[in-house]
Amino acid sequence: MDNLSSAPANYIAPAPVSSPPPAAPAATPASSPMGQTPGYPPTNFVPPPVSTSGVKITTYTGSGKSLRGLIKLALLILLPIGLAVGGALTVSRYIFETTYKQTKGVLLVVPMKDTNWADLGVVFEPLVSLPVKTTTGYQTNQFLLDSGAVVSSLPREWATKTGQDLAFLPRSTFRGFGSTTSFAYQGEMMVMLGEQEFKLPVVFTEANTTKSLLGRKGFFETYSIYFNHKEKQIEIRE
Amino acid sequence: MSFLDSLDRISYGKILSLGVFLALLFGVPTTVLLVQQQTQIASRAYQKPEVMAEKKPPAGPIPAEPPQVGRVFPWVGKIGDIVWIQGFHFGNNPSQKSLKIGGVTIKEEDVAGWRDDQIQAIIPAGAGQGGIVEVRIGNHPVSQSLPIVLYDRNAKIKLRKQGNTLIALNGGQIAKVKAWTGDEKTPTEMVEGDINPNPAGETSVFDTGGKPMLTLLLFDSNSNILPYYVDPIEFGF
Repeated sequence: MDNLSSAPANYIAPAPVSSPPPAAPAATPASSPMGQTPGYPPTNFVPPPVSTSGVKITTYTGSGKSLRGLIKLALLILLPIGLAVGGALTVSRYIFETTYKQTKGVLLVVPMKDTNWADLGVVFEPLVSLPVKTTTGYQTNQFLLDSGAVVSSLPREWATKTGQDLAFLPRSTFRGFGSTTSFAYQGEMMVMLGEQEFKLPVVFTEANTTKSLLGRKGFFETYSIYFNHKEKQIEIRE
Repeated sequence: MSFLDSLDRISYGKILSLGVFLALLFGVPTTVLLVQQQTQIASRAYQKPEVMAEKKPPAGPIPAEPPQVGRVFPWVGKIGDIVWIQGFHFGNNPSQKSLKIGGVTIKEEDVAGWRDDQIQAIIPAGAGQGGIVEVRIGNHPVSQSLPIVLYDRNAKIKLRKQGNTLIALNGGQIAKVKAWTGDEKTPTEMVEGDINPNPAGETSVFDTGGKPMLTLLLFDSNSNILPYYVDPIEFGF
């Protein structure tokens, strides 16, 4: 090694990571007759200059190794747990929703809408928006779920939209909120509940006396309405 | 060599690969286990409301004054349609009463409501065209309405409003018109006249002069009443 120590100052031994030194010989080789050790440069050997650019010098300490090992250990533990739990929850939630809808016969899920009343505070409104079939396609209309109403109702302007002539529909009396009475015309409407189309009886009434309602006849007596307060949603079930 | 040193010798790529493998190894059975769990719904299902029949008020006394029919609203309708018979002294569902529409006595179940100033009833099958409403209460004399017009899906003539003028569509057969105007504040007035119909288009049949309509009859050349219909929205009912 004395030969190396006599190397020029600009000679830097390669770092162990990048270029580890050759393993030490098992036994000291015999010197040549010229006094040189085989495999080593002659004593008068001057190595060529080596550029240091691009050479990464890394030093190891015991604590650094432990820290990186700890990070990798944490990664090895947390990564599978995170992936497994996340994947399991995602898949099970999707399957749960699908299974829930199938087993409970859920046709439509509508999020509850809150209204902030001046005197009562925030109260949810049982409102659902359903596409109603018109002569020009489907038009979404908002209905109030009203189990107190005998039959569903729409403003009478909807009769023309749905291709029905009020003059030829049976005429009856409609009692609205506050016992107000008006004429009502009994017709039908086709609505989409989820992905299925259903025919519902409806009365067309004066718009200023009532909102659009989904009432008992044909709706509450055919479908179950479930107010799921935990999920904050209204479910219309078969 | 410690365990951490051994881990340190594993590259990050291998660590990630191993992590994904372990995630699949434990995640799939866990997911299957979760999915196979029985769903439990703690809340009770919504209970369907009972269908209630609207109760009529109990039979009331015979009013002291004789009944007085004002108008039948609307004056056009179909068999099975409801009409409002407006007037005075009908009593509140009096015990002794009789109601006829177009010559047919109305059954109790077809009377939707009976109060002192209004009766709601269904036009019965068999009611005659241009018939009247007759109300009898107790021993009071019968009160009669003006004639009403019945129509069905075969009706061709449609009456429209254009300002105060009533216009008939498809009114080629119309030969004569008879109209009544008025209300409780305006004296009842009857107007009668001949019509020269426009077979191809619109025929002007009556000018209300801004007075409220009570009823209107259209006749052909043989004095038969012609059925017609109107748009309820246009005529306000």
